[in-house]
Amino acid sequence: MNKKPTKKMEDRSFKAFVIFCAALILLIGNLFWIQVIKGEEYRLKAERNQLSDTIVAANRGTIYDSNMKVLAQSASAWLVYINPSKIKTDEQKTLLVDGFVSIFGLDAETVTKKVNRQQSGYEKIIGQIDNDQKAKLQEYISQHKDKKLGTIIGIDPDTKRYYPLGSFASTVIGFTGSEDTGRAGLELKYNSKLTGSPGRIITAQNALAGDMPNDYETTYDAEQGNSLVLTIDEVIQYYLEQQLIQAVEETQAKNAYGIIMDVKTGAILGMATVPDYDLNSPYKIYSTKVEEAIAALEDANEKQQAETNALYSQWRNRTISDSYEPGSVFKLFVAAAALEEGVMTTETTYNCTSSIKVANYYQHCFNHHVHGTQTVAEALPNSCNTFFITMGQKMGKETFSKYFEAFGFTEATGIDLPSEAIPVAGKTYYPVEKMGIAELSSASFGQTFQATPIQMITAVASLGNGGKLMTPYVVKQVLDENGNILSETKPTVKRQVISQKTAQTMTKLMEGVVEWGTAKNAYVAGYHIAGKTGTSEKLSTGNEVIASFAGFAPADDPQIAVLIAVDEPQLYRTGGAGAAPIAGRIFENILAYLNVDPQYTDEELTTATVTAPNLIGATVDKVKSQASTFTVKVVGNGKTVISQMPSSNQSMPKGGIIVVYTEENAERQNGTVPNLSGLTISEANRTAINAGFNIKVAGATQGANQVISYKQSIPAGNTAQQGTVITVYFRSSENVTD
Amino acid sequence: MAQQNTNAYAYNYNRNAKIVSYNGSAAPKVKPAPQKKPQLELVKKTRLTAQQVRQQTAAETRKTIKVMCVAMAILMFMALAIYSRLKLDEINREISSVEKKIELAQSDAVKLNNELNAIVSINNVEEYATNELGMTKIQDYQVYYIDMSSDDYVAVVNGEKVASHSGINNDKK
Repeated sequence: MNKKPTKKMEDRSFKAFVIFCAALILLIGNLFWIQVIKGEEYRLKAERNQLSDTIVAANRGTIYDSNMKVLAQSASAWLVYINPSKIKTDEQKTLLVDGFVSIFGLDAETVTKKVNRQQSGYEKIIGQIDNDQKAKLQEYISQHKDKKLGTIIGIDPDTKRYYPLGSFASTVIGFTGSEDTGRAGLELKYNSKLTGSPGRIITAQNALAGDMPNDYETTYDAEQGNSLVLTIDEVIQYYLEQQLIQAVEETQAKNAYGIIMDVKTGAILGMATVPDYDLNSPYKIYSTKVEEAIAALEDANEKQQAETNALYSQWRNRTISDSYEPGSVFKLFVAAAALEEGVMTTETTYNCTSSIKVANYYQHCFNHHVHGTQTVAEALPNSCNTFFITMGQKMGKETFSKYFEAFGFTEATGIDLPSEAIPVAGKTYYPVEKMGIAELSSASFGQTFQATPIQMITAVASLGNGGKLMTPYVVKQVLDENGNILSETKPTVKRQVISQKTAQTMTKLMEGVVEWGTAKNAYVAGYHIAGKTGTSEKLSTGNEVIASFAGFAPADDPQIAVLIAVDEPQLYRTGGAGAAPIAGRIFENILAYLNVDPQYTDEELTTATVTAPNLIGATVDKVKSQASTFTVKVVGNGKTVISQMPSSNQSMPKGGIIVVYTEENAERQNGTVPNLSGLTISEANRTAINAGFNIKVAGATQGANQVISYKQSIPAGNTAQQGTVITVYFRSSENVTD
Repeated sequence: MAQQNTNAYAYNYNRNAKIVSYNGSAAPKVKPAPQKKPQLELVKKTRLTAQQVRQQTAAETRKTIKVMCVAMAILMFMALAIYSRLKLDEINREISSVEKKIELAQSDAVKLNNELNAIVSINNVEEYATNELGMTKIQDYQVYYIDMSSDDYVAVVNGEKVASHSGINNDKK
């Protein structure tokens, strides 16, 4: 049957169709509005509701010494925070405070303040905690599960910087702040290289804003920062720091600082300021004196300011940030310039009468010494002021200024460390247009201008490397996460300041300063050391001085340059008495470490020293009959010698004691080490032999009766086997007054 | 065909509407055909032979098996998909868990290595060697140089040593 739709049906169908189309258009329109127009907004809203996005801090790169020993390293750690707005009861508050105080040792008052900020949704409690502490906190939360601490406490990933060697090279390495950014030293200078790219952990959240299980988690790994390999050598740095600590103790100085540089490349092998601080706790004040002084202050603002100043002071790398009047060490450059320009030769003589009239006043030699007629080979060891004033005047201010600039005293060295002091013309030195005869004369022996220790050692090193002024550097290589080398620092020659010939002449002259001049306390038997001492007044503190030494060794093939400055010494207040012995001990240790063999002169080998003969196997009677250059003490009733102390070939003084043992199980003969300080060589030798010991003479030995012992390798009062050779260090007090 | 055979009866509507021929110019006169009531016609089902019944049953069985196989295949595919998804999730969880453990272990390793480095720093080693063990730094006389340029030898004549050469030398000069 074929039935046609009625008119009514058609109308109804049409209306339904229109309604359907309208609904469809509305739906599509709404969909377009939601998906396209408002799509991004809703997506973000949805993500915020459904996802928890946590930034994962990237580990900073590692800092290594030149032998790949770790000096600074980062590891994953944890950050603990609370959401105070979720705290419902006082009991929860108490539990939170108790827990944080007992687990992390935090201050209860500080934690209470944070817990009470109930308007806040986020309060950081502590960062950089390790896994053990995190586990303890989680256990604590589990113990108080019924109190729902887990909904209040949050734990986020964090990183922690470890400095395994504590205060080691602290003023060079620097430290990081709470946001893992560098605050000082290399950590600051190389912050962008050391900092990596942070990662993210995106986790789905349930309706209660709690994290859902791991399978709803997406992790974008953080990328570790680049690592640094330094030119600093752990062993050299250690020797430097040890000797600087001893320098402060011996001279009762305010502080001491030093640099050791590779003469040929400008690489810094060691750099230290003492006292320093522990990199793991940089905000603690380490100087007891300073701490006591701050504690004595009553005004809170004054106290806070003093604390801030003390912290900045202990973080300060004085070798690059502090400048001082270099004093007589600067005479080296006046001599080099005068020789290079032909103003004088090594034969040129000058008669020193202790003073010289400059403009309207007299300038004197140190302690008004009269040095008489002398060449530069004598004037330099004598540190004669009038000689160098005359040479300065002869060369004129233009030539003086030319070399002043050429040796790098008018510019920063460009070392890759932050806060290097920059010389300012007219403020830290006189530019040529403002230099009069008085300024030129004073500058010729190292006064009236300022230089930093890093400038000084760079200039001194140029005398040892054939006249090349190098750019000093601390970072040898930059490595990526996998240890690949990204960049390497090549030695950079800034300029040729003087000729190789002049540099060689200067080296010879400097050797004389150490052999018999003001730097004789830096003498080390077997090594040729070139150096110069200086003592300069600190204009800011009245009567205080800076005693310094700068030099290099071995003189015939220079490898290392050393600069030592002792700031405000109360004892041994000159460069020759206070700084030179420190430099000598540093040279002795480091040259041995660098496998530079000592080359003893015949004189050094025969001066009151013999080598112990091999007595093992010989009969007691034979040993006794041979004992002309030594004393024998026989232990046991055997007929032949089984062992001896000191061993064969060991250096010992003429007339020293050898203890021989004739029985296998004979008890070793021990004795108490005597005090050998404050004695001449012969007195120390006698005292040691009387106690059953031998001595080895170290340090200054020129003029046996003028040198006095000041240090011994085995402390007095210790027990040691009889016959042991104790190294005794001697210091000269003659002609070291500069 | 099988469908037709299975129906025992079917209705057959008689549609015998007349088609009227048209051959002129004027409007044709249509003579309405007499209305006939549609009649239901009972169609008798063809009786199937035993052979046909067996064939029909076999075909039905095959079809059922096919359907069941397809259904099982679909079910198995779905089960496998779910299982593999579960397995994948489980492995992901394990990976994530192990990665976290590795990170923790690495963090602990760094911490412990740093503690170790602090303990065996040169300062501590020297202090312990000097103060606890009574050791001293190596002296020149303790250094022996070995000359490898020529072989060591000992010449013995009648049991008595007459000449020798040793590469070991501690002469510092």
